[in-house]
Amino acid sequence: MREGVDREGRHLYPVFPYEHFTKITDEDLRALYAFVMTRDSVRAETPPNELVFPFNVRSLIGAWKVLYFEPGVFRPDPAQSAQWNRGAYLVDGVGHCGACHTPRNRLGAEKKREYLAGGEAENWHAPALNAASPAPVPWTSAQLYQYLRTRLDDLHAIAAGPMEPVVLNLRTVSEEDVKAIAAYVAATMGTPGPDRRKKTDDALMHARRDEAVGVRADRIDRDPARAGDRAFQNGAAIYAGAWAVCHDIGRNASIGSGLHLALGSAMTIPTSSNLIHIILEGIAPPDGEPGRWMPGYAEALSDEQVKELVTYIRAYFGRSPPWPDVDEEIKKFRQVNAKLRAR
Amino acid sequence: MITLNVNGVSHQVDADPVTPLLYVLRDHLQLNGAKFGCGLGQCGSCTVMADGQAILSCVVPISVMQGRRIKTLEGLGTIDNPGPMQRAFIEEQAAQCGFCIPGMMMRAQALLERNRSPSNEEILSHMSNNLCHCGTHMRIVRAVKRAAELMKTGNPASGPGRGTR
Amino acid sequence: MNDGISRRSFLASGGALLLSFSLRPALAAAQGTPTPKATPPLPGSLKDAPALDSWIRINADGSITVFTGKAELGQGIKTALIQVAAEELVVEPRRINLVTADTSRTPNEGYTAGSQSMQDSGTAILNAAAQVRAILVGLASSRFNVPPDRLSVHSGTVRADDGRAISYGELVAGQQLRMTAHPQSVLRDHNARTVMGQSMQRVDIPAKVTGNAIYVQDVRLAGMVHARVVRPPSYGARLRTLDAGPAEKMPGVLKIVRDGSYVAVVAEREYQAVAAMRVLARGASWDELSTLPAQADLYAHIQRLPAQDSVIFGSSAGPSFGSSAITSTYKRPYQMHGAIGPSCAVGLHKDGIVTVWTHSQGVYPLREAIAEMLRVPADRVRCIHVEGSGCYGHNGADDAGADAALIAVAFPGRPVRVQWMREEEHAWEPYGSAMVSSAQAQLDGSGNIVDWQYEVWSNTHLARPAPAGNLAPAWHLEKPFTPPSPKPIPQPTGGGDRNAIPLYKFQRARVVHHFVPAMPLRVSALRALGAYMNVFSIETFMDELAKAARADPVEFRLRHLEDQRAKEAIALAADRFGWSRYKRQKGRGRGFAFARYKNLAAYTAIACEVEVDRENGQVRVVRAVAANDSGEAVNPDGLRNQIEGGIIQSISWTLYEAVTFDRTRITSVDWASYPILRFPNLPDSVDVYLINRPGQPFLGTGEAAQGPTAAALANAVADATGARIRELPLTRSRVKAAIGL
Repeated sequence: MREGVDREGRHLYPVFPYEHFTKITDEDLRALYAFVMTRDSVRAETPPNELVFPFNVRSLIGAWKVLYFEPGVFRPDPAQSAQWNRGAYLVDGVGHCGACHTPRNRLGAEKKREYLAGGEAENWHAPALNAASPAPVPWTSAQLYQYLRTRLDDLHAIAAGPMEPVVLNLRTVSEEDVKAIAAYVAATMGTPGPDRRKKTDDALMHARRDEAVGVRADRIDRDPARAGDRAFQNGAAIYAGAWAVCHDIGRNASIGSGLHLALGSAMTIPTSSNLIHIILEGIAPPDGEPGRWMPGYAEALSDEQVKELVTYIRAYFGRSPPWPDVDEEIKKFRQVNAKLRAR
Repeated sequence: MITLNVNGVSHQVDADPVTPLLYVLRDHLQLNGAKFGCGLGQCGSCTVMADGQAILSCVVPISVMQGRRIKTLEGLGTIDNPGPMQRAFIEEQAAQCGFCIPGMMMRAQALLERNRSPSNEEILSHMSNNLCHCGTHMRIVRAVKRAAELMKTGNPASGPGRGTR
Repeated sequence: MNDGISRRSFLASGGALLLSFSLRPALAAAQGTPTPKATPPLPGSLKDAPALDSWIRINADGSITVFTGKAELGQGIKTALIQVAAEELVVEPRRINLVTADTSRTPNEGYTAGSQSMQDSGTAILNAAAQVRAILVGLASSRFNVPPDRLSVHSGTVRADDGRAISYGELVAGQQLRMTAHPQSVLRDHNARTVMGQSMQRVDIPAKVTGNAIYVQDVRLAGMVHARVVRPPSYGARLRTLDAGPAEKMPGVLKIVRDGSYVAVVAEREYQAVAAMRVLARGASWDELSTLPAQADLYAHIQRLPAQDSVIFGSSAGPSFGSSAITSTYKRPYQMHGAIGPSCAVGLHKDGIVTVWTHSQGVYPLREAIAEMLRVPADRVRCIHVEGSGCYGHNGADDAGADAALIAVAFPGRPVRVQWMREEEHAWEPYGSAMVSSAQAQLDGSGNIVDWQYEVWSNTHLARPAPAGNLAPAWHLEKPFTPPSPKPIPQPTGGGDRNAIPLYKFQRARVVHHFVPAMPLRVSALRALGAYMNVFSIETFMDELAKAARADPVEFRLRHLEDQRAKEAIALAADRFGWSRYKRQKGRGRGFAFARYKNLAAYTAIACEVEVDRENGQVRVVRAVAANDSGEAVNPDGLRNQIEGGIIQSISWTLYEAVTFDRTRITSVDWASYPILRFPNLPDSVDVYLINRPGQPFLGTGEAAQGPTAAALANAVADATGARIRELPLTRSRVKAAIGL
């Protein structure tokens, strides 16, 4: 955990995030060990790795470590509160949030100067948790706590993709600790400036306006300036027929209702991948538990229809320039999920 | 006017393009197979097939269904000439109230057309989309397995099924 | 054998034989029994509908129409009743056309509920068919001038031994008899069954799997229009303002209906009605009241409410407990019917009659209720049963029927189809009551139970219409109807106290029912009524006592039983499960439970094995084995289907299901918020073994498996983990909390 080596002293690939685990205190490491040893053991052979040369040369990791790895226990910042420090310890240590939320260089190391500036995990985008947070409505500490604890906050997206298991596990963590994580992340995001606040007001007004009118199938042609844009209009029609009934009436109208899309980060992050994932896979609660539900559309929509829908959503709800990577992300998704191809 | 191809027949439908396919199948085309169970895409009672894929017709607008080959329960056979999936469900007596069954059959049909010999786990995982509250699940699984046999060989693998005619 | 029958006195009626006046001497002679002096009660539902022509009609073409006041709910009753009639009439089942509940055509058999259908209708048809057969033989006897005992019956034909034969249809041609049922019937030999006892395939399944119009949801009548209701957001909500303007202008909209707080929209096309309903809902503002208790405080709240206490077993003196007494408390939340197809009805107001096509379990009581609601005489209303989805008791079907009637009256002349949305069904259907129970017992030195006390707190399990006040739409009318004060269902049937009296025999025992009239949430009959919770409690408690007595759970139960059939069912289930040979594997455990439904109906014993995931508390039933005794099994596969289905349904209830609510509204309004069992969590196997007793009375089976399954499951979890959980459902988090790390 501390040095990134196995029992025999060989270097471990940083896929095992020892750059973070190195920060864990002795006491916590002892506690982790004690707990793990009470579990039932199983026999599991680690499959051999399939890395290409030179990445399959394990000893080269030593050089990588010299460049990028700083071992050592977390050191609290005396200028900060106890809660902030606790949050920092959890986020940077056992929580290893930066492993997904910090961008990496070509050698796979986290870019320390872009701490929590947004990264990637399992083909999903992990949004920035610093001042560059793309959330249409800036997160407060209380909202982050709500999200981390229950998977959902009124004005923000539902935890999906790789974030889903994180949130499910955080339910078993003490309230105090989750509050500390929330406080630390909120502090890292900082206070929004006037530009950001203006964008927030626009987003909130958009959502409130649509919710006040409710589901109106006759409102397909929402943006008269885009009347001639076929992709936009087709996308609007698909949205009206499939999504409006749950996403246009306010989240508390019924459990099946989703967030108004003007408030969701998936619409404002730099890549289309998260939105495409959600559209095609849907959202499901943990097995046997109550939660939000959205059916996946992988079988129902052709690639072209997905593109039209994504284009419309980005423009109308995200109020942002079109994504450049839509075709690529759709193709990537289809390849990984070959059996869900529509045509 | 929207053109829909359902069970091999082309229909001109005069309905708002945002109308979910389920309502058009039932209300305009008078087909009973696909059922309204929730309208939220949560229960699978409305399952039909589009180009061999199982879709939830209650949350798919007809505007995206143009040019797709749609198949409903009625496309699997008739009461006088039931298809293998239907025969399997009759032979296994796989129904109590029967309301969820057409959706189950269409969901299973999509699986078997793609994978002729699914494992038990594959069947359970694939069918997890569909809900039943009468508790007919065990028979449904047996019927899907029987249908797989009927589709392969024309004969059931094991036994004459449940009950006498 | 011509006494009392004169051909000239017959009325022609299109060639159908209708039997309906008393012809005792001839009938008695035909049956070979002397005319009885006293009048014992008529068997089954014949006592309420003694005219044989209410049940059976022989047509000139040889086909036979059989009428039942019961309804097909998917439990296979149509098929079973056809088998019964076919057996006693000695015809092929396919010659029988069965007509089910219709206020204009069939006997009034109340509700299809309480697992009474075979006991009531099956018994009536068994006897009516036997008596009709005897009458036909009597007619043939007079026509051939041959004594009845020299005639034989086969395949709808009566034969003399000299070769002369006449079919039922020919016997009947041009004749009409009216006859009342006789208390005694000469039944055919139950050891020589040809149709009953066969697993005949269900007559309704082929149409259901080929998309034929079977369900009330499939009813399509000429000129039919579509309606949707804008339901209030909570029970006590009142409509403050309604801006119907935007909805009125929408395509296809024909009418907006408003009566007090009752709001609905009618449109030509179904989706037009749905779209208009959403817009209309936006235009409605409501005053709501916070009338619901805090969910976290639910059980304490129920026990604090005023209750009517009755000692339903034992003396008020009761058993006495010392310091070694064992006590446990059990809890069960509100649970839903949750039929996969939300409720639906079609109504038509034409020529002064309101006709409602409905999947209500009781078309006669519903007719009364609708007539009261519309303030018209009952004969102006007709209710026809058409199959619906699921059912499992008093769900939204009656309310949907009321909706259809109200809207049809507001929009007369064209049939109006009202389909409930999923959220409406989840929020408005009556639930199974939340219940608390408490059990206490004392063992003697040999580990036998000597003192036993059981108390159960529950709301009513019966709030069905006939009174219009039990129709939810009627609560919101300008001149509303209010629900009547609920009354407990008396023993031996019981409501919240159904199966509260165990079948076991103890030295001293007392059972108390605390009937709580005030209903925080809307409740009524959900399959098995109180039996689900009472059997869960009692059978879990028996397990706890067996453990204290260091006895095997199966042997412990047998020790306390005198009922021979119960012991056989228990022994069979244990044997087929391999109970005495069981070897516990890590993470797994076994559990056993038994009950006789209502202490009057089917005997069901269940053994099951579960596996529990230590990390997250997830429970899965690995295998379940059931033994069931329902008396004479008319359709063995039908019985198996009901028991298997009941086991799977109960697994869903027991592991997942609980209605959720805040202080104002129901919050479990769809499947996402009210999860149920899905395929990946199925058992590997469910095996049902039937004990068939031909000639014995039919015992209702549709609700027999739910209670024992819950207890067997909880007992298996306790066996696997050492953790005893007494609050339903056994969710992952509850099980994990009980297991600890």
